[in-house]
Amino acid sequence: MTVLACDSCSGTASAALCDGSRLISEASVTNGNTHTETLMPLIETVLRTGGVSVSEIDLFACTSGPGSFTGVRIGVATVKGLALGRGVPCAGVSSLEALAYAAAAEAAASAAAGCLPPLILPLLDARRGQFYTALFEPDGGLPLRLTDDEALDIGKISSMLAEDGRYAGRPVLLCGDGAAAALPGLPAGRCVMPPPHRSFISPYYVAQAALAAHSRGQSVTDAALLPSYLRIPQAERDRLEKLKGPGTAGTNTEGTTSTEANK
Amino acid sequence: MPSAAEMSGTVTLFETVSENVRDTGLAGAKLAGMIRDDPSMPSFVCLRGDLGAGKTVFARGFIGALCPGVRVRSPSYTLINEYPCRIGGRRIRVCHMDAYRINGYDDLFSTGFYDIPEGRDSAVLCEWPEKIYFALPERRIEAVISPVPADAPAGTPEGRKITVSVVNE
Repeated sequence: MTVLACDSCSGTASAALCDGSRLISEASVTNGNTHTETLMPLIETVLRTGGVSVSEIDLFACTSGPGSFTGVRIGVATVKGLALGRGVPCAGVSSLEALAYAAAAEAAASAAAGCLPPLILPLLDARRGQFYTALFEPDGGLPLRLTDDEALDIGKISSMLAEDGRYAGRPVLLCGDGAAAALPGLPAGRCVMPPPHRSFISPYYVAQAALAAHSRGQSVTDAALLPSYLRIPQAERDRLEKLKGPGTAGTNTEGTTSTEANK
Repeated sequence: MPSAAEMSGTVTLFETVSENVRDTGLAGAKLAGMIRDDPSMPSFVCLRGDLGAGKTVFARGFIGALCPGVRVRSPSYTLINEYPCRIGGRRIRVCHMDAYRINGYDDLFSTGFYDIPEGRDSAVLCEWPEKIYFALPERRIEAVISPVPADAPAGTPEGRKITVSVVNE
Protein backbone atom coordinates (compact mmCIF):
# COMPACT_ATOMS: atom_id res chain seq x y z
CA MET A 1 0.00 0.00 0.00
CA THR A 2 1.49 3.36 -1.05
CA VAL A 3 1.13 6.06 1.58
CA LEU A 4 1.80 9.77 1.23
CA ALA A 5 2.21 11.33 4.67
CA CYS A 6 2.95 14.87 5.78
CA ASP A 7 3.37 16.89 8.94
CA SER A 8 3.19 20.62 9.58
CA CYS A 9 2.07 20.74 13.23
CA SER A 10 5.24 22.34 14.57
CA GLY A 11 8.23 24.29 13.28
CA THR A 12 9.27 21.63 10.78
CA ALA A 13 7.33 20.72 7.66
CA SER A 14 7.91 17.27 6.23
CA ALA A 15 6.57 14.66 3.85
CA ALA A 16 7.27 10.99 3.22
CA LEU A 17 6.30 8.41 0.67
CA CYS A 18 6.12 4.80 1.85
CA ASP A 19 5.25 1.44 0.42
CA GLY A 20 3.95 -0.20 3.58
CA SER A 21 6.81 -0.13 6.07
CA ARG A 22 9.38 0.62 3.34
CA LEU A 23 10.39 4.27 3.07
CA ILE A 24 10.59 5.37 -0.57
CA SER A 25 11.43 9.05 -0.12
CA GLU A 26 11.33 11.66 2.61
CA ALA A 27 11.95 15.39 2.85
CA SER A 28 11.76 17.99 5.58
CA VAL A 29 12.53 21.65 6.06
CA THR A 30 12.91 23.91 9.10
CA ASN A 31 13.68 27.34 7.75
CA GLY A 32 11.20 29.65 9.46
CA ASN A 33 9.07 30.02 6.35
CA THR A 34 5.39 29.36 6.73
CA HIS A 35 4.26 25.86 5.90
CA THR A 36 1.97 27.21 3.19
CA GLU A 37 5.18 27.90 1.24
CA THR A 38 7.07 24.73 2.11
CA LEU A 39 4.66 21.81 2.40
CA MET A 40 3.50 21.45 -1.21
CA PRO A 41 7.04 21.65 -2.65
CA LEU A 42 8.08 18.95 -0.16
CA ILE A 43 5.21 16.72 -1.25
CA GLU A 44 6.08 17.34 -4.89
CA THR A 45 9.70 16.45 -4.11
CA VAL A 46 8.95 13.12 -2.42
CA LEU A 47 6.57 12.13 -5.20
CA ARG A 48 8.99 13.08 -7.95
CA THR A 49 12.07 11.52 -6.36
CA GLY A 50 10.02 8.48 -5.40
CA GLY A 51 8.76 8.11 -8.96
CA VAL A 52 5.14 7.95 -7.84
CA SER A 53 2.24 10.09 -9.02
CA VAL A 54 -0.61 11.32 -6.83
CA SER A 55 -3.01 9.00 -8.66
CA GLU A 56 -1.01 6.00 -7.39
CA ILE A 57 -1.45 6.87 -3.70
CA ASP A 58 -3.57 4.39 -1.73
CA LEU A 59 -3.69 6.28 1.56
CA PHE A 60 -3.18 9.96 2.36
CA ALA A 61 -2.01 10.80 5.88
CA CYS A 62 -1.20 13.85 7.93
CA THR A 63 -0.79 14.87 11.52
CA SER A 64 -4.14 16.31 12.52
CA GLY A 65 -2.95 17.97 15.73
CA PRO A 66 -2.37 18.95 18.39
CA GLY A 67 0.11 21.64 17.44
CA SER A 68 0.30 25.04 15.84
CA PHE A 69 -3.18 26.26 14.85
CA THR A 70 -2.19 27.32 11.35
CA GLY A 71 0.16 24.36 10.93
CA VAL A 72 -2.58 21.86 11.72
CA ARG A 73 -4.94 23.56 9.27
CA ILE A 74 -2.32 23.61 6.52
CA GLY A 75 -1.58 19.87 6.84
CA VAL A 76 -5.20 18.79 7.01
CA ALA A 77 -6.29 21.13 4.20
CA THR A 78 -3.43 19.92 1.99
CA VAL A 79 -4.34 16.26 2.39
CA LYS A 80 -8.05 17.00 1.93
CA GLY A 81 -7.20 18.83 -1.28
CA LEU A 82 -5.02 16.02 -2.62
CA ALA A 83 -7.60 13.36 -1.79
CA LEU A 84 -10.63 15.35 -2.94
CA GLY A 85 -12.64 13.43 -5.48
CA ARG A 86 -10.23 10.50 -5.69
CA GLY A 87 -12.12 8.24 -3.30
CA VAL A 88 -8.83 7.43 -1.57
CA PRO A 89 -8.94 7.02 2.23
CA CYS A 90 -7.28 9.53 4.54
CA ALA A 91 -5.92 9.13 8.05
CA GLY A 92 -5.32 11.90 10.56
CA VAL A 93 -2.63 10.94 13.04
CA SER A 94 -2.01 12.51 16.44
CA SER A 95 1.25 14.46 16.26
CA LEU A 96 2.10 13.11 19.73
CA GLU A 97 1.49 9.53 18.62
CA ALA A 98 3.74 10.05 15.60
CA LEU A 99 6.51 11.21 17.95
CA ALA A 100 5.87 8.21 20.20
CA TYR A 101 6.14 5.83 17.23
CA ALA A 102 9.72 6.90 16.61
CA ALA A 103 10.62 6.70 20.31
CA ALA A 104 9.02 3.27 20.72
CA ALA A 105 10.98 1.90 17.78
CA GLU A 106 14.24 3.12 19.34
CA ALA A 107 13.26 1.93 22.82
CA ALA A 108 12.65 -1.58 21.46
CA ALA A 109 16.11 -1.57 19.90
CA SER A 110 17.82 -0.56 23.14
CA ALA A 111 15.64 -2.45 25.66
CA ALA A 112 17.67 -4.19 28.35
CA ALA A 113 16.37 -7.27 30.14
CA GLY A 114 15.39 -6.76 33.75
CA CYS A 115 15.03 -2.97 33.50
CA LEU A 116 11.79 -1.15 34.16
CA PRO A 117 10.15 -0.40 30.78
CA PRO A 118 10.47 3.29 29.97
CA LEU A 119 7.62 5.70 29.51
CA ILE A 120 7.46 7.81 26.35
CA LEU A 121 6.51 11.44 26.85
CA PRO A 122 6.10 13.50 23.67
CA LEU A 123 6.00 17.25 24.34
CA LEU A 124 4.99 20.03 21.98
CA ASP A 125 4.90 23.66 23.08
CA ALA A 126 1.25 24.76 23.50
CA ARG A 127 2.26 28.28 24.69
CA ARG A 128 0.76 29.98 27.75
CA GLY A 129 3.07 27.78 29.85
CA GLN A 130 1.49 24.56 28.63
CA PHE A 131 2.57 21.56 26.61
CA TYR A 132 0.62 19.23 24.36
CA THR A 133 1.43 15.81 25.72
CA ALA A 134 0.32 12.22 26.23
CA LEU A 135 1.94 9.21 27.82
CA PHE A 136 2.90 6.05 25.96
CA GLU A 137 4.99 2.98 26.64
CA PRO A 138 6.78 0.79 24.10
CA ASP A 139 5.05 -2.44 23.30
CA GLY A 140 6.93 -4.62 20.86
CA GLY A 141 8.38 -1.63 19.01
CA LEU A 142 5.05 0.20 18.85
CA PRO A 143 3.69 2.85 21.21
CA LEU A 144 0.95 1.75 23.58
CA ARG A 145 -1.14 4.75 24.55
CA LEU A 146 -1.56 5.28 28.32
CA THR A 147 -3.24 8.71 28.37
CA ASP A 148 -5.18 10.90 25.96
CA ASP A 149 -3.65 13.90 24.19
CA GLU A 150 -3.96 16.91 26.50
CA ALA A 151 -2.67 20.45 26.99
CA LEU A 152 -1.13 20.48 30.48
CA ASP A 153 1.14 22.75 32.46
CA ILE A 154 4.49 21.34 33.47
CA GLY A 155 3.45 21.00 37.12
CA LYS A 156 0.64 18.61 36.22
CA ILE A 157 2.87 16.55 33.95
CA SER A 158 5.50 16.32 36.65
CA SER A 159 2.94 15.32 39.31
CA MET A 160 1.55 12.62 37.04
CA LEU A 161 5.01 11.12 36.57
CA ALA A 162 5.98 11.40 40.24
CA GLU A 163 2.77 10.49 42.04
CA ASP A 164 0.91 8.01 39.88
CA GLY A 165 1.95 4.57 41.08
CA ARG A 166 1.83 3.15 37.55
CA TYR A 167 4.52 5.55 36.37
CA ALA A 168 6.63 6.26 39.47
CA GLY A 169 10.29 5.33 39.18
CA ARG A 170 10.21 4.46 35.48
CA PRO A 171 12.63 6.17 33.12
CA VAL A 172 11.00 8.67 30.78
CA LEU A 173 12.03 9.09 27.16
CA LEU A 174 11.22 12.63 26.09
CA CYS A 175 10.55 13.55 22.48
CA GLY A 176 9.22 16.53 20.59
CA ASP A 177 10.37 20.11 20.26
CA GLY A 178 8.98 21.04 23.69
CA ALA A 179 11.29 18.61 25.53
CA ALA A 180 14.11 21.07 26.22
CA ALA A 181 11.76 23.69 27.67
CA ALA A 182 9.94 21.11 29.80
CA LEU A 183 12.98 19.26 31.16
CA PRO A 184 13.78 21.59 34.11
CA GLY A 185 10.25 21.08 35.47
CA LEU A 186 10.21 17.29 35.20
CA PRO A 187 11.34 14.77 37.87
CA ALA A 188 15.11 14.98 38.04
CA GLY A 189 17.23 12.03 37.03
CA ARG A 190 14.50 10.07 35.27
CA CYS A 191 14.01 11.94 32.03
CA VAL A 192 16.15 11.31 28.98
CA MET A 193 16.45 14.12 26.47
CA PRO A 194 15.88 13.08 22.88
CA PRO A 195 18.64 13.12 20.30
CA PRO A 196 18.05 15.96 17.82
CA HIS A 197 16.36 13.74 15.24
CA ARG A 198 13.71 12.71 17.78
CA SER A 199 12.77 16.33 18.51
CA PHE A 200 10.93 16.48 15.21
CA ILE A 201 7.95 14.56 13.94
CA SER A 202 9.05 11.96 11.41
CA PRO A 203 6.70 11.77 8.41
CA TYR A 204 7.76 8.12 8.03
CA TYR A 205 6.14 7.38 11.38
CA VAL A 206 3.11 9.47 10.45
CA ALA A 207 2.75 7.05 7.54
CA GLN A 208 3.23 4.01 9.81
CA ALA A 209 0.67 5.27 12.34
CA ALA A 210 -1.73 5.98 9.47
CA LEU A 211 -1.28 2.47 8.08
CA ALA A 212 -2.04 1.04 11.53
CA ALA A 213 -5.16 3.23 11.80
CA HIS A 214 -6.24 2.17 8.31
CA SER A 215 -5.84 -1.51 9.18
CA ARG A 216 -8.04 -0.93 12.26
CA GLY A 217 -10.69 0.58 10.00
CA GLN A 218 -10.02 4.09 11.29
CA SER A 219 -9.22 5.82 7.99
CA VAL A 220 -11.83 8.26 6.75
CA THR A 221 -12.96 10.07 3.62
CA ASP A 222 -11.37 13.41 2.76
CA ALA A 223 -14.56 15.15 3.88
CA ALA A 224 -14.44 13.47 7.29
CA LEU A 225 -10.77 14.29 7.94
CA LEU A 226 -10.79 16.93 10.69
CA PRO A 227 -8.18 18.85 12.63
CA SER A 228 -7.78 18.29 16.36
CA TYR A 229 -6.85 21.59 18.00
CA LEU A 230 -7.03 20.27 21.55
CA ARG A 231 -7.76 23.66 22.99
CA ILE A 232 -7.12 24.43 26.59
CA PRO A 233 -10.24 23.37 28.54
CA GLN A 234 -12.80 26.10 29.21
CA ALA A 235 -12.40 25.70 32.98
CA GLU A 236 -8.67 26.35 32.68
CA ARG A 237 -9.31 29.36 30.47
CA ASP A 238 -11.79 30.73 33.02
CA ARG A 239 -9.22 30.25 35.77
CA LEU A 240 -6.56 32.07 33.76
CA GLU A 241 -8.93 34.95 33.09
CA LYS A 242 -9.88 35.11 36.77
CA LEU A 243 -6.21 35.32 37.70
CA LYS A 244 -5.94 38.35 35.43
CA GLY A 245 -8.77 40.05 37.34
CA PRO A 246 -12.36 40.84 36.41
CA GLY A 247 -11.42 44.09 34.70
CA THR A 248 -13.15 47.39 34.54
CA ALA A 249 -15.76 48.18 31.98
CA GLY A 250 -14.88 51.01 29.65
CA THR A 251 -16.46 52.54 26.61
CA ASN A 252 -14.45 53.06 23.48
CA THR A 253 -15.06 55.71 20.93
CA GLU A 254 -17.40 53.57 18.85
CA GLY A 255 -19.79 53.41 21.76
CA THR A 256 -19.49 49.67 22.38
CA THR A 257 -18.42 48.33 25.74
CA SER A 258 -15.03 46.76 26.16
CA THR A 259 -13.38 45.23 29.17
CA GLU A 260 -9.92 46.15 30.27
CA ALA A 261 -8.11 44.38 33.04
CA ASN A 262 -7.08 46.18 36.16
CA LYS A 263 -3.34 46.45 35.73
CA MET B 1 22.36 48.20 37.09
CA PRO B 2 19.35 46.89 35.15
CA SER B 3 18.37 48.65 31.94
CA ALA B 4 15.02 50.43 31.69
CA ALA B 5 13.66 47.37 29.92
CA GLU B 6 14.62 45.09 32.82
CA MET B 7 13.25 47.14 35.73
CA SER B 8 9.96 46.12 37.32
CA GLY B 9 6.86 48.31 37.20
CA THR B 10 6.41 50.88 34.47
CA VAL B 11 9.40 52.74 33.07
CA THR B 12 8.89 55.50 30.51
CA LEU B 13 11.14 55.12 27.47
CA PHE B 14 10.21 58.41 25.84
CA GLU B 15 7.49 61.00 25.56
CA THR B 16 6.95 63.26 22.62
CA VAL B 17 4.38 65.61 21.17
CA SER B 18 3.49 64.90 17.58
CA GLU B 19 2.36 67.88 15.56
CA ASN B 20 1.76 65.97 12.35
CA VAL B 21 1.70 62.59 10.61
CA ARG B 22 5.46 62.66 10.07
CA ASP B 23 6.17 63.10 13.79
CA THR B 24 3.91 60.19 14.67
CA GLY B 25 5.61 57.92 12.13
CA LEU B 26 9.03 58.96 13.45
CA ALA B 27 7.97 58.02 16.98
CA GLY B 28 7.04 54.56 15.69
CA ALA B 29 10.39 54.28 13.93
CA LYS B 30 12.22 55.39 17.07
CA LEU B 31 10.59 52.64 19.13
CA ALA B 32 11.38 50.06 16.43
CA GLY B 33 15.04 51.09 16.54
CA MET B 34 15.13 50.71 20.34
CA ILE B 35 13.68 47.20 20.11
CA ARG B 36 16.04 46.28 17.27
CA ASP B 37 19.15 47.51 19.09
CA ASP B 38 18.47 46.44 22.69
CA PRO B 39 18.06 42.66 23.20
CA SER B 40 16.63 43.20 26.70
CA MET B 41 13.68 45.15 25.32
CA PRO B 42 10.30 43.38 25.10
CA SER B 43 9.16 42.99 21.50
CA PHE B 44 5.40 42.99 22.14
CA VAL B 45 3.96 46.49 21.76
CA CYS B 46 0.46 47.48 22.85
CA LEU B 47 -0.64 50.48 20.84
CA ARG B 48 -3.42 52.43 22.50
CA GLY B 49 -5.38 55.43 21.29
CA ASP B 50 -8.83 56.42 20.11
CA LEU B 51 -10.01 56.08 16.53
CA GLY B 52 -8.10 58.60 14.42
CA ALA B 53 -5.39 59.06 17.04
CA GLY B 54 -2.69 57.98 14.62
CA LYS B 55 -2.15 54.34 15.58
CA THR B 56 -1.84 53.18 11.97
CA VAL B 57 0.60 55.99 11.17
CA PHE B 58 2.69 55.00 14.21
CA ALA B 59 2.52 51.37 13.02
CA ARG B 60 3.71 52.35 9.53
CA GLY B 61 6.71 54.11 11.02
CA PHE B 62 7.44 51.14 13.30
CA ILE B 63 7.14 48.47 10.60
CA GLY B 64 8.88 50.57 7.97
CA ALA B 65 11.91 50.92 10.25
CA LEU B 66 12.20 47.15 10.72
CA CYS B 67 11.15 46.07 7.21
CA PRO B 68 12.23 48.87 4.84
CA GLY B 69 10.24 49.15 1.65
CA VAL B 70 7.23 47.08 2.66
CA ARG B 71 3.76 48.39 2.06
CA VAL B 72 1.93 48.42 5.37
CA ARG B 73 -1.76 47.61 5.08
CA SER B 74 -4.47 47.92 7.69
CA PRO B 75 -5.09 44.76 9.71
CA SER B 76 -8.68 45.78 10.51
CA TYR B 77 -10.15 42.95 8.44
CA THR B 78 -7.25 40.51 8.23
CA LEU B 79 -6.73 40.82 12.03
CA ILE B 80 -3.00 40.03 11.77
CA ASN B 81 -0.66 41.13 8.99
CA GLU B 82 2.76 39.57 8.95
CA TYR B 83 5.93 41.10 7.51
CA PRO B 84 8.92 38.75 7.36
CA CYS B 85 12.23 40.56 7.48
CA ARG B 86 15.87 40.14 8.44
CA ILE B 87 17.55 42.06 11.22
CA GLY B 88 21.31 41.62 11.53
CA GLY B 89 21.13 38.35 9.64
CA ARG B 90 18.30 37.06 11.85
CA ARG B 91 14.97 36.21 10.27
CA ILE B 92 12.13 37.71 12.28
CA ARG B 93 8.40 38.22 11.82
CA VAL B 94 6.88 41.62 12.39
CA CYS B 95 3.18 41.16 13.14
CA HIS B 96 0.70 44.03 13.01
CA MET B 97 -2.50 43.11 14.74
CA ASP B 98 -5.89 44.73 15.22
CA ALA B 99 -7.66 43.03 18.12
CA TYR B 100 -10.80 45.17 17.92
CA ARG B 101 -12.98 42.37 16.53
CA ILE B 102 -11.57 39.60 18.70
CA ASN B 103 -13.92 38.35 21.37
CA GLY B 104 -12.36 35.94 23.83
CA TYR B 105 -9.83 33.16 23.76
CA ASP B 106 -11.43 31.02 21.04
CA ASP B 107 -11.46 33.96 18.65
CA LEU B 108 -7.86 34.78 19.45
CA PHE B 109 -6.74 31.16 19.08
CA SER B 110 -8.35 30.97 15.64
CA THR B 111 -6.36 33.97 14.40
CA GLY B 112 -3.12 32.00 14.78
CA PHE B 113 -1.98 34.44 17.49
CA TYR B 114 -0.38 31.64 19.45
CA ASP B 115 1.69 30.61 16.42
CA ILE B 116 3.59 33.88 16.50
CA PRO B 117 7.09 33.07 17.79
CA GLU B 118 7.86 34.47 21.22
CA GLY B 119 10.84 36.58 22.14
CA ARG B 120 13.40 37.95 19.72
CA ASP B 121 12.09 35.98 16.73
CA SER B 122 9.14 38.32 16.36
CA ALA B 123 7.95 41.84 17.02
CA VAL B 124 4.24 42.32 17.59
CA LEU B 125 2.41 45.62 17.36
CA CYS B 126 -1.12 45.21 18.70
CA GLU B 127 -3.88 47.78 18.28
CA TRP B 128 -6.84 47.58 20.69
CA PRO B 129 -4.89 45.36 23.11
CA GLU B 130 -7.62 45.75 25.73
CA LYS B 131 -9.65 43.21 23.73
CA ILE B 132 -7.05 40.52 24.44
CA TYR B 133 -6.00 41.62 27.92
CA PHE B 134 -5.93 37.96 29.01
CA ALA B 135 -3.20 37.14 26.50
CA LEU B 136 -0.85 40.09 26.90
CA PRO B 137 2.68 39.23 27.98
CA GLU B 138 3.68 40.42 31.44
CA ARG B 139 6.71 42.19 29.93
CA ARG B 140 5.64 44.44 27.10
CA ILE B 141 5.81 47.94 25.72
CA GLU B 142 2.86 50.29 26.00
CA ALA B 143 2.62 53.08 23.42
CA VAL B 144 -0.23 55.48 24.15
CA ILE B 145 -1.32 58.21 21.75
CA SER B 146 -3.61 60.82 23.28
CA PRO B 147 -4.63 64.41 22.60
CA VAL B 148 -2.38 67.01 24.22
CA PRO B 149 -4.30 68.02 27.35
CA ALA B 150 -5.94 71.42 27.43
CA ASP B 151 -4.01 72.33 30.62
CA ALA B 152 -0.61 71.66 29.04
CA PRO B 153 2.03 74.34 29.76
CA ALA B 154 1.92 77.42 27.58
CA GLY B 155 3.87 76.96 24.38
CA THR B 156 3.09 73.24 24.09
CA PRO B 157 2.16 72.64 20.45
CA GLU B 158 -1.25 71.26 19.55
CA GLY B 159 -1.27 67.67 18.45
CA ARG B 160 -0.87 64.24 19.98
CA LYS B 161 1.04 63.23 23.06
CA ILE B 162 2.86 59.93 22.55
CA THR B 163 4.07 58.09 25.63
CA VAL B 164 6.09 54.90 25.26
CA SER B 165 6.81 52.79 28.35
CA VAL B 166 8.07 49.36 29.30
CA VAL B 167 5.71 47.48 31.58
CA ASN B 168 6.95 44.63 33.80
CA GLU B 169 3.96 43.22 35.67
